Amino acid sequence: MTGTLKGKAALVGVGWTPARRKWPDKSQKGMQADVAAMAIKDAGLRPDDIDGLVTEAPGGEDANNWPAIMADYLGIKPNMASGVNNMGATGTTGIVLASTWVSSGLAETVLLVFGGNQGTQPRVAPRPNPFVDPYGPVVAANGWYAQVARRHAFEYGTTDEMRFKVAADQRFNAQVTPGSAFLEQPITVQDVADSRYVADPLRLLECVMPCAGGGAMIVTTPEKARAMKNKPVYMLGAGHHTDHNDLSWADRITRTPAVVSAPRAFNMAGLSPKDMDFAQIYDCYTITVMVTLEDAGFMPKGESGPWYQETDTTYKGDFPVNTHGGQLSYGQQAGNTGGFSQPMEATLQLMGRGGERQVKDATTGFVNG
Amino acid sequence: MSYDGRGEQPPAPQKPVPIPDAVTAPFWEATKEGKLMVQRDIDSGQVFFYPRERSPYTLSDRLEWVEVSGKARIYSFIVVRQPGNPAFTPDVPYIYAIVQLDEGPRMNGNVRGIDIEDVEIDMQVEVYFEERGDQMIPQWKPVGAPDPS
Repeated sequence: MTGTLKGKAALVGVGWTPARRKWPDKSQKGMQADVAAMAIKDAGLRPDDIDGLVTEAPGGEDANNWPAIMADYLGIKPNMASGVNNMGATGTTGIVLASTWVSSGLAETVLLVFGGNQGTQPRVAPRPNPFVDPYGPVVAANGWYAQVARRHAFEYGTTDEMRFKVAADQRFNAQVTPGSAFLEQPITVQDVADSRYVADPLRLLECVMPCAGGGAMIVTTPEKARAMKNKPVYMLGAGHHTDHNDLSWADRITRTPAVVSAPRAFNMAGLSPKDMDFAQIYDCYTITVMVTLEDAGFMPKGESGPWYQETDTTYKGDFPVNTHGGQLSYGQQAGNTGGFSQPMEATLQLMGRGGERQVKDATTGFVNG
Repeated sequence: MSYDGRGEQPPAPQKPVPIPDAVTAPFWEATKEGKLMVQRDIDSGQVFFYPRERSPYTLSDRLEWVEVSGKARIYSFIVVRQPGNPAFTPDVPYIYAIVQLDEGPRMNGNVRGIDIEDVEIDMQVEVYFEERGDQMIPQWKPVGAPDPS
């Protein structure tokens, strides 16, 4: 490997709103400006210190040119700016992009900002699909991951109860995460089993609840980071892989792109899954966490079900996963903030700012989007 | 426009009817003749679905349409109890499946003509064609079963 990001970028500030079902008095620009201000202040910086901007694209209020719209709204004049859209991987992709900018000198201090107001912003409607729509699917991603869950059960004998443990453990974590949408609503495996089907075999408590909110972070050079007020969290390795869009056309629906991207990240870092103190894994559904952990090498392929039954994955457990509750129990915040919650939570944990949910002695973590 | 329950009734939601375009027209012309077709990359001989203008194997645009056997296995499926489109609500619960053709490519479809509890992954199914508006859409049923109505 000729190039590397190892140690060449640092996360130094976080801004994150609570998850709310509705936030009617807040525009998308206003939401993003709120978290941008929070992250800049958290890093001990001023808006003038920002010379790079990564945000989502398209935005909801103005579909075109969202990065310039937000730069204008925030009153910053970045030397590098880009919109990212990799669905759930938007936030993590943004961090990798920002890291390449600061490691190459294209920008020094990059603001990443996402967020919106669920249900009050227009979305880009998908084009009709003549090979899907005539058959009466459920809402897209629900159906895809329900297909994965059914196939995983067929290939590996994974039971429904094994999946339900993912939701119950994450909900436990959310009980001590300020801002979570499900505070004071703990659930058991039985509660998940008793919830209605959303897309058989997936049940309601295995699926994310869309929420309003936003998140922002600051990425800068290690040199600058060392002079800042927060304990820097260093990028040690990164990998990305794209191999399909609609899951129907994936080579194997129980295999995720993490089977390629995770080894690339570990190789860059010179580390392996056993070196990780926790994992924050993209979790639109329970099964998503399971197949990703398998493909990232935290257990052999197909064994996430038995692993979950034997492992306490809460913040105080054997191997903590999604210590904020994940999107499943924090709430999936709009504008791609959902998948950005995993790196935000990892950063807070590694800064030692996890509060009541702090993973003891955590120094190194794994993040997936 | 609002409906107050006293006058005009809202139109019943309609199940989507495929609208052929330049790329997919040969597929939909074939289904009207009771044939299931996929594309073949002439250079590599590989077949693929959904329809494209170039091969995902070689990026060649030397493509041809070939008829397949109409035999497949259920790759995975869900039981739909809450459709995204309300036009399907009268049909619940029903099977929405990904099937894998014996020739390799996968397609989405419903599996009918069998009790929902009896549907299993890897089960052999065969195509039949359902009239939908001015089109015939491929659907799936147990091998040898009569066409479900």
